[in-house]
Amino acid sequence: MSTTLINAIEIDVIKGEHIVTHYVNIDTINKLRSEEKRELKTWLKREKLPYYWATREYLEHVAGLYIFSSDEDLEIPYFTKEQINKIKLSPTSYPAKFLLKMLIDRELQERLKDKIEKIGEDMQGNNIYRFKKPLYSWPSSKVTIYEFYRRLFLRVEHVRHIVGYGHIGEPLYVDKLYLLPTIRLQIAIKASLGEIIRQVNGHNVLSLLHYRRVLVSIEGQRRVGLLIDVDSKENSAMVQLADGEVKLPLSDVYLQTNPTWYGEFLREVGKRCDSSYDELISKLGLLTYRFEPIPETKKRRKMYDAPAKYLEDLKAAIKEILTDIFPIKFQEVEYDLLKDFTQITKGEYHVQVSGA
Amino acid sequence: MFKYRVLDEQLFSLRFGGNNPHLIPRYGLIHHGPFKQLKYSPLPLRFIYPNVQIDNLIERLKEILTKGSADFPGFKKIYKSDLEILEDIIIKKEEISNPLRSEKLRKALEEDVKLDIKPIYVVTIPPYPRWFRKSPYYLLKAHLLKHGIMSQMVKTDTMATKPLREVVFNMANAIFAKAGGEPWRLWSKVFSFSGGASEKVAIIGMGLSRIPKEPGHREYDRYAGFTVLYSDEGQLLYVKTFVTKYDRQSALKELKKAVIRAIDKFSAYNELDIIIHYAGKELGRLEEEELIKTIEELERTRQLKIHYIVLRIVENPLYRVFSISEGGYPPAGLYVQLGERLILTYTVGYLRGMSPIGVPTPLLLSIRLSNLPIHNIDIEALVSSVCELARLNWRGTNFFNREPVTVKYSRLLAYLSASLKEAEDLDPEDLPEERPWFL
Repeated sequence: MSTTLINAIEIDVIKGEHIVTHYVNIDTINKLRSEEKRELKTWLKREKLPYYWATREYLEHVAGLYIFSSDEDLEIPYFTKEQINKIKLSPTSYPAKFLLKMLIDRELQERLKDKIEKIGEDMQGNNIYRFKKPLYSWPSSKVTIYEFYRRLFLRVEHVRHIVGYGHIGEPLYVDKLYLLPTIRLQIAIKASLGEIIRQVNGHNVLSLLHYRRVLVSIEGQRRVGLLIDVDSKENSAMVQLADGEVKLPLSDVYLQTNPTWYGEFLREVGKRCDSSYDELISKLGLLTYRFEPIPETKKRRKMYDAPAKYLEDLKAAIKEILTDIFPIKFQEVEYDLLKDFTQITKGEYHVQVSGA
Repeated sequence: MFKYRVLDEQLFSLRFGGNNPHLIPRYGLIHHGPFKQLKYSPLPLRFIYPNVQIDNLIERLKEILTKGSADFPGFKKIYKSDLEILEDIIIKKEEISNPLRSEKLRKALEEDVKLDIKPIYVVTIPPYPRWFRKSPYYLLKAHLLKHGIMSQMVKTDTMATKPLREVVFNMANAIFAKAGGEPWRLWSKVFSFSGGASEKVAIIGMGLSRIPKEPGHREYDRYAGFTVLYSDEGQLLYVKTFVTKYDRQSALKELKKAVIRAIDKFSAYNELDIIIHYAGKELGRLEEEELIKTIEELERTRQLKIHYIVLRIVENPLYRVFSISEGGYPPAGLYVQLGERLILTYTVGYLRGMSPIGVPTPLLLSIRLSNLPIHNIDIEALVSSVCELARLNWRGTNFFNREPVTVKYSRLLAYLSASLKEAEDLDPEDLPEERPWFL
């Protein structure tokens, strides 16, 4: 019996043995000019066609463009019919992870649009979604400055497991696809400094923000700056940006997302809104799994079971979102999600310590 | 089908004075002193701060540094070296944004550069963000380095919001390292990944970073490269940075130079294992080819058999591992081989009753290049190189530190060297190579 879990949920292929893919050889692709390659990528995105663009061979899959479509007569710009080959791929092969990523995304956006919205992709190509209902808002009256949301990050991962060795010692593999979900907190800023000050009726508290980081909006572009001074008569602020100082109306200046950077200021704002700063910080500690309140005191302590609590919340988020969209069909293949996270077992203990 | 293993606890221990081990840096220092003491005493320090009602705080800071407090017994007791506090330089309020205008600073600097043992300047500055290229932090650090003087910066908000004794302990450790001391080394050597054939293992942190024109923007104007070389015992041997225009060929040329210099700094005969911890921008095909070519060239010209691994360290993978005991914390040193070339590694986690704050995030190690067949590589040696190098963070004295210094310092170095060049046109070539000036 294993005592350890990894947040990888195995994708089970319950029906079908292969996926037919439209494949274009890398030499053909390399004949395109760079702007043509860019346009081709734009076309694939516009047509919402899942694809795998391999610049080099990886895990026996030769370099080239693999496009997943159920349209047998798919026409691809820049290529003739002769240049497009149809090849069969295993539903758990490396290229199939790109297909499944898009299929899951499509299902989530179509079927769960009341609950979540897609924010985009991170640098590693993971899809990011936000639960529409906020977890917490602060302050509770007059003006909302902070709203805490739960975000769901999803990645489809291909893993090649070694399951044994053949008669000449060659490793024997099995390919599997896994879904990796994680949850993270998102803090949204809902009010500008202008709105905050109007609502709490007090310019004097702005002096508590001197030399603090702020976010400004200049011609629709967001930039990070440092609040140098405030002119209460003109409702404006002097903000130091990377390339010099600018004078901006307070309605274009925002706090950044970490409330702990503005302790004194938020404490004062909280007092004028009947909302406690300590409660905001306490909630932040809980939702980031870092600190928890000590019952019947105003103090906090380190959370001693942070991963266990996180796991509980992660399982709840998966139950709410992911279980409803499976099984997912593509061509003759049907993917399903196994019920729980994968258990991992301890391998042989291998110790090599030197110098001790 | 996933299997996990856990590194031996001893690999997390550190080596302090008298070759004594300890797990926690601050207690190791308190009980045994530093691994290598300064060659001189006293160590001169000069404090610089603006006249904005913080002199009481500075006096308290000096008092803790010299006489100690509850959790910090004082610099002399820990580092076995006296401190000599030179006359303070108090900068006028209007000089904060450009301290170089201060006449007092100019005069003191004139005197200090003539001294055999140059003082370390402890500079208190307002909390300018690191992206602000004209911040007094960069202006002063670069100006002082141009005169061969190292500085320890302390932000006023750090002093106001964190327990002063903790700030002082971390600051003291960085000052000691900059002065030439070695707070600690590894208890266990990083072992060979090539099957024990090589006697020596060098760990190189390197990479290229694109420096954006503005924070958070995706428009870049320069490349900053970095190389940090460590011995298998965790001795910092060499630090080098370079800054080039935003042109890959120029960056590649410098990268090649940096690799050659690092390997030449490491006196090895016959055989050598090199583990390159690669951080920053993703390795492109050109960079890969250049690295391979450079190492092959070195093998030929230096008559050395080099086994190398380029290990890319991905810092925020989506993977998480949960134990059902210990509040769910995975043990520190747990690793899972996800595929032939991918290893999930926990550098922090549960260890002897200690656990980090929050949910620990693993690192994902990806074997990008090697001249050994993959099945001949000892994966545990690679994991140990990452976990052990995470123990060498001299910027703090607490137990938990997630990133190996090869990555952590590299990022710091890239940003600093680019900013120092911009602030005072300080050529990265002129920066110290054997002392951690960047801490």
